[in-house]
Amino acid sequence: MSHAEWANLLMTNLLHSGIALLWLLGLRRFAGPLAPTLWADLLRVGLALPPLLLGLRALGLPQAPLPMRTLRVGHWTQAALDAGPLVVAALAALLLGTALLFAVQELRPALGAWLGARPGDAMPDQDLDRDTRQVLQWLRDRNLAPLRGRPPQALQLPRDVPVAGLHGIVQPQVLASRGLLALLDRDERLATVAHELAHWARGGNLRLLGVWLLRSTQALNPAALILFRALVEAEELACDDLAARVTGHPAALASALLKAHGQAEALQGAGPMARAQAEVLRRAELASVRGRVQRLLRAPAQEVPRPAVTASAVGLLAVILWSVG
Amino acid sequence: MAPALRWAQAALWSVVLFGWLWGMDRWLLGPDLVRGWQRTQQLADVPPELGPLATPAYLPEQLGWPPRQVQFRQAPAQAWWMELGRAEGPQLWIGSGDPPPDLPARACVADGACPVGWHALSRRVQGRGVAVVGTLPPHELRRVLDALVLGVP
Repeated sequence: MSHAEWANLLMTNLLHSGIALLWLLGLRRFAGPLAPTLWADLLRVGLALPPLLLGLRALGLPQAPLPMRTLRVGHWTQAALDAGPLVVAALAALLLGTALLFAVQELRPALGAWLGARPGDAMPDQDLDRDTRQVLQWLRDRNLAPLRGRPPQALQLPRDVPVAGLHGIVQPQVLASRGLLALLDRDERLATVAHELAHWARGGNLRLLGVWLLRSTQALNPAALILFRALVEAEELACDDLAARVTGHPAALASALLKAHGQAEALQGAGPMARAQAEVLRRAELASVRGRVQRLLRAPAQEVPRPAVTASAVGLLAVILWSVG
Repeated sequence: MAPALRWAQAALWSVVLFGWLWGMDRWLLGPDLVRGWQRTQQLADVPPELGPLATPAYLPEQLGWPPRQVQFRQAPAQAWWMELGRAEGPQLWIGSGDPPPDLPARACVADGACPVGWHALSRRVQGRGVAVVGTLPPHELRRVLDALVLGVP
């Protein structure tokens, strides 16, 4: 492909993602509030549609007729190139800065988690296993459990840091650390397990990996960065909602969140830069947790929208993006 | 808020966004102009918005009519160039505006620095700047330039 074709491809992706982000923000502003499950699904579509549309075009999907096109990508590419070296340099700096953020804040931790977090030392825990089976039954009773795939196992991590998470793709595992389990009572433990199983019920790590791979094809795209971060937040809210509905006890999940995130991790021997970075991350996490706790305590868990609602919204977005070409 | 009202608002927002994007694109970048260089072998394919092309009322015998190819551009600045001549023999380009990137003696028009054997001349034909660039002898090139008229024969 020539330089001009690469520039056109990049401009198409930038415009597609930017418009998807704009449309989603407007949708939430004018037709909101949206249920977190719907919001997360729409963010996922907003992130996935731009590269998928490019792929479909490569396979022969026709473009919108020229008079109907909302944005004429070739014109925008040419206008950007004709705008002079200063504009081109500013645009390049924005894109490279975005790619750098992706590499440092997303790729590196993802590779670290993938390479380093092998829960080989995890061990069965009777209470955790019983709670997991209980929550799985509740999910099945409400037809919320996936029909295919192995149900997750529950394992205890022999660590004092209070953490819990869903691990694995083929054989998912609900992991909770010894430190966390020591802090939680039965209701809080059930709520925590329900939250992690909600991630599994919403597609688990396999779907997250698929979305992340699509996101990583747009590493230069600032709108894709915003969409992905909003999606991660929205997924947590959607899983909070699902866990609160399944257990019928949102306050227990709120309490578990506060206990898990109230413990500051000690960074013994770390340098001042590492400590400062950890403190910034901790404060950002606390702000996020505060919002989730307030939401759990104040707002009732929202129903999962009907598939037709999600499909209509996806259709609208697809038509708008198709008109850009 | 009733679901029907919410979805009416969602649809309205989509229409507003669609219209805003369309309007902004046309306002900032103009109507559907041909941006970048286009190539054709038919003079009839050149958009009339470029105005009448200058065509030679005189050509040396070695050069034929119609042109082998015409290259044109509507934006960011209007330009057109036609190539006459065969693969072997003298070369002649007649055009107006910035030269296309693949004109062999582009520098002739851009800054007057012609390669050996190439010459460039220009004049205004009914108010429009027109140039001829080629490997013809200078007196022949001058004759072609002086015989240019606006419009396709």
